[in-house]
Amino acid sequence: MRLAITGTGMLSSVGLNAPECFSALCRGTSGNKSIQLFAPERYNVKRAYEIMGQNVERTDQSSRATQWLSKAIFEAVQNARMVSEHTRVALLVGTGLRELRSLELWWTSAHAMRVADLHFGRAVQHHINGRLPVMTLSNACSASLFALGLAEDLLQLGEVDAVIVAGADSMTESMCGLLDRVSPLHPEGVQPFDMNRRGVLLGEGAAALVLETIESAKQRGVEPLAWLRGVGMSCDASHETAPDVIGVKRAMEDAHRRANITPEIVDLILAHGTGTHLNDETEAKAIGMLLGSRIHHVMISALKGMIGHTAGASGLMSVVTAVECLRQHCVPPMVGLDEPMAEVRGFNIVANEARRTLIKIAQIHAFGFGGVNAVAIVEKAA
Amino acid sequence: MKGESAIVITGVGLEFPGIQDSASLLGTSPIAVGTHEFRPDIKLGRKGLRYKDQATKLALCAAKAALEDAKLPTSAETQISSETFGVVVSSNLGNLDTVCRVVSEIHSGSTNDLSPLDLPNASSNVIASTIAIRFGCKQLNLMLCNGATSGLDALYLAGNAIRAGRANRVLIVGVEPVNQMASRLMQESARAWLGYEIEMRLGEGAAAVIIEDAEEARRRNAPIYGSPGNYVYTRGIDVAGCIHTALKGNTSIDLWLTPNCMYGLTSSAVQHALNSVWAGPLPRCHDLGAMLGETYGAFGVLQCVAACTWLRTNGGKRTLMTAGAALDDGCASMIIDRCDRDADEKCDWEDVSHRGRPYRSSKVFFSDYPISIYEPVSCASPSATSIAMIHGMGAGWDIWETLQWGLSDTFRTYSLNLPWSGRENPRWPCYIGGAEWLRLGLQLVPKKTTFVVAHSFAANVLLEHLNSHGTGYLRGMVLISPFYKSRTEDFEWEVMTYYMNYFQTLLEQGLRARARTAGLTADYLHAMAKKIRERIAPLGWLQFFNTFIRTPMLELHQFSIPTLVIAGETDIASPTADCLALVQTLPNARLEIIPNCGHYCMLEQPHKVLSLVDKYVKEWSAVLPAI
Repeated sequence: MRLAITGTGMLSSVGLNAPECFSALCRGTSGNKSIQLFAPERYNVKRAYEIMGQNVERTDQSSRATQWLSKAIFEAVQNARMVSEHTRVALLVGTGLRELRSLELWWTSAHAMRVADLHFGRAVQHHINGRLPVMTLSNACSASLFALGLAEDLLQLGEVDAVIVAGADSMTESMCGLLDRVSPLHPEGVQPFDMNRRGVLLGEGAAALVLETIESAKQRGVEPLAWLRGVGMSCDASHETAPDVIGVKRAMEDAHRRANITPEIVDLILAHGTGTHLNDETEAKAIGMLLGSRIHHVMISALKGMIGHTAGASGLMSVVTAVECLRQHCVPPMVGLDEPMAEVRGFNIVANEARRTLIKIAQIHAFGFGGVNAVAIVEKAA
Repeated sequence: MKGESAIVITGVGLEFPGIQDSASLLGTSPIAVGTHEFRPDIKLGRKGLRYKDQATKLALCAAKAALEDAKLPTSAETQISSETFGVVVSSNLGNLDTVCRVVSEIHSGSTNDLSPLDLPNASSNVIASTIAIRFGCKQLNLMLCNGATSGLDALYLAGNAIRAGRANRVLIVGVEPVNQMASRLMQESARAWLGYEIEMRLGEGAAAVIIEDAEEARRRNAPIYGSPGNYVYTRGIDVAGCIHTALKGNTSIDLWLTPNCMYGLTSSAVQHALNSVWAGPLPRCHDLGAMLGETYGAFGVLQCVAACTWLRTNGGKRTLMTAGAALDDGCASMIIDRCDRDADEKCDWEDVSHRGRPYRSSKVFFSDYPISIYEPVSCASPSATSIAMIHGMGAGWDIWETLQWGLSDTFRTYSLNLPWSGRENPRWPCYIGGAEWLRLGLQLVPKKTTFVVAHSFAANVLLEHLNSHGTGYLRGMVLISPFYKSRTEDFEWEVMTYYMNYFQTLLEQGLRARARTAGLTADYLHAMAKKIRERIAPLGWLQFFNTFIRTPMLELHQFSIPTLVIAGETDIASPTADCLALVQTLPNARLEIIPNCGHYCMLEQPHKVLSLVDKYVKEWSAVLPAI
């Protein structure tokens, strides 16, 4: 079933709205900076991809993710020309770290917070009519793509006419610290699929989109920006933190089954590409197995070299970017890749600079801790 | 396709220190805290538990109990249909202690002081992924952190995943731990929300429920508690509005599991609901919060365990669960119905005989028009792939006799009878369009429809239906003598008058093709066809022509499912050239032309059509992805 994406919104370390982000990404801009949020002397890692826009907020505030989430939703809703009276709209939020940063500040610095703030409850409810669900799921680094899949279910089952799908994540000290503790090589930047990649760095961001049935879009008189063809899911059920090539491939196949496509017609893959040793190797192997001899034809790029690992928001940020790739015929480069690792030899990687080309079908990956994998397929609108 | 599969609850499990078994959930006295020791090592074995947090251990115990209750394996290695088995966990406070402890450790030193073993626990979804690993659940894996409604939300999303064809079975767990951080945060949140201090008593525990596709559950003879029904979410503390919508006018329930009434605001909202929703006698009410304390994200799943126990042990029929309306969270309600055998099949089936052959049949009415479905009583396995067959205008369900029986050893075949058969009064298009009639008909098919065979007008109605609803579960279709023009300009006046003038002839050809009318005179056939034509009336014909005239507008390029188009060489209604144009527009279609055959291929050359359909459908089934 094809569903219409009729509005998008996004914030990241390289831009504070979707158009700004996309043009920065196509220029290969990186948001990599020295960490501002936490006391540097307590960390080996010194760099991250934080959102530091002057007008956005001060560094040690609570509810930063909530603010970005609201902004991204607002942008997407405006973009989709959706009015609040529009009934039968649900809201699904995917996040890796919820408002755990606010919890940390509550715990260490006595900032006020309520338990409902953890799941953005009070902040996002007003976006939709009072009679339909607002749900937050915390599915590690694939959270927002899982939210997109659940939105697909809601629309396919006719439960609602439209869903606002969103994702947001700010860095938490605990996650940043634990990742620091387990990455011995202290990376300075994310280098997806690079031979000398040293690990992941966190980023911050939010994305949102409006997804609706074809009839709903027609009725409201809005043109789709792109089609969502389907979202596939899987769980490795093998290891808590390490990925598994079979599980990852299963998610891709599930996506193709739901989208009713074959791998031959995929033009672009926006990979998860975290720059960690095992993740990139696993993802590359799974892509190789999926595409076989088609591997030379399918363009592959990844955003994390520019915006860091934005945790649960990353999947939807890639989807919003992919929508622009389809519309503007431009694919952002895979920044951070200097020497491709052995597993991606022969891959058609968009390296160095953006590539201008027509794309019809894009595939987006997001994989998370616990082996939770989600893959989305989007298609160019006529 | 829309909600074709029913869902049933086949297992419940509980791990609540202080509570002996799920039947105790229906008692009333508050549990004595700290009297019961939690021993995960005994329940699960020591292995692999050492670095798990409390919430994960509680969840694992409840999950294991539910699996045992549902008669499912409790180890990953022996789990059945792992790849269509999902997990949805609801918890809000699960890893707050880890996060707070880690940040304190960093502040009192550096990240070098941290234990790497805390990394998995820092991710909120650790509970869901640990369950998946231990019990072998490889489909969707969700961690819902949605406050007080989270437990019921989890049930709803899990049900959707089954209905949308993602999974056949989902394990749902609700869990909350009690620790210093959680207690403090909940206490402060309650004060901020209410504006005054209350004594907050948190409950620590987990509950688990297994829901399955009803057919899947029957196949393995699982015990069935009930069937989750209507789910409603409202913002704020509008309990009355929420349950009013959930009950859909039928207020007869035998148990209402109310929201946690420990907060004054919630308690008033529940009172208001009792006063305003029920006119007659009030239902029996039960507040789990009074017994268990605030169990937040676990609450809805605990309610579900209580509801299932009630349905089984107290002979209950219909229970309502409501959670939330507290702490700035919304309010959610869900109904669970007891489900007696076959109650999930949306209608009653009866055995009928037609031309000496046994069928089982079922019927529903819409605006006084019957829509019926017929399945041959055959030896096909209950799990066999299903094929739906749809007749054209002026024909009936039995037009598929040869095809239905010819395929019935390998497939489950369902023939629909829709109002355009020419046997009903002609006003059917006044209510809803052809595609909508078809959608209602397809809902009668008790299995997920995998293939569809449609003839003539029905082939076009099918294309319209798929055009607006997507192909869903459908893995292939056979269109016999469909109508098609690629350009709107092709519809000139001559085309319309041609189809109008030859309508009678076409109907006569159909009658002639039926073997049993072989001995009838041309005059008699003419009179019969005229009668059918009168029944269809201009209203029905216009419906046909309207559908035909819209064919250039179909977004055929999106129909990537394999399609077989069968055309009769001498068909005067859908000429082979039109069929060829259709095949060339569809991305994944084949054309088979049957020589010396008119518009009614399956009557004129039934065995040829059977062999074609059999060949293609088997070919498509062979490449079916497993689900």
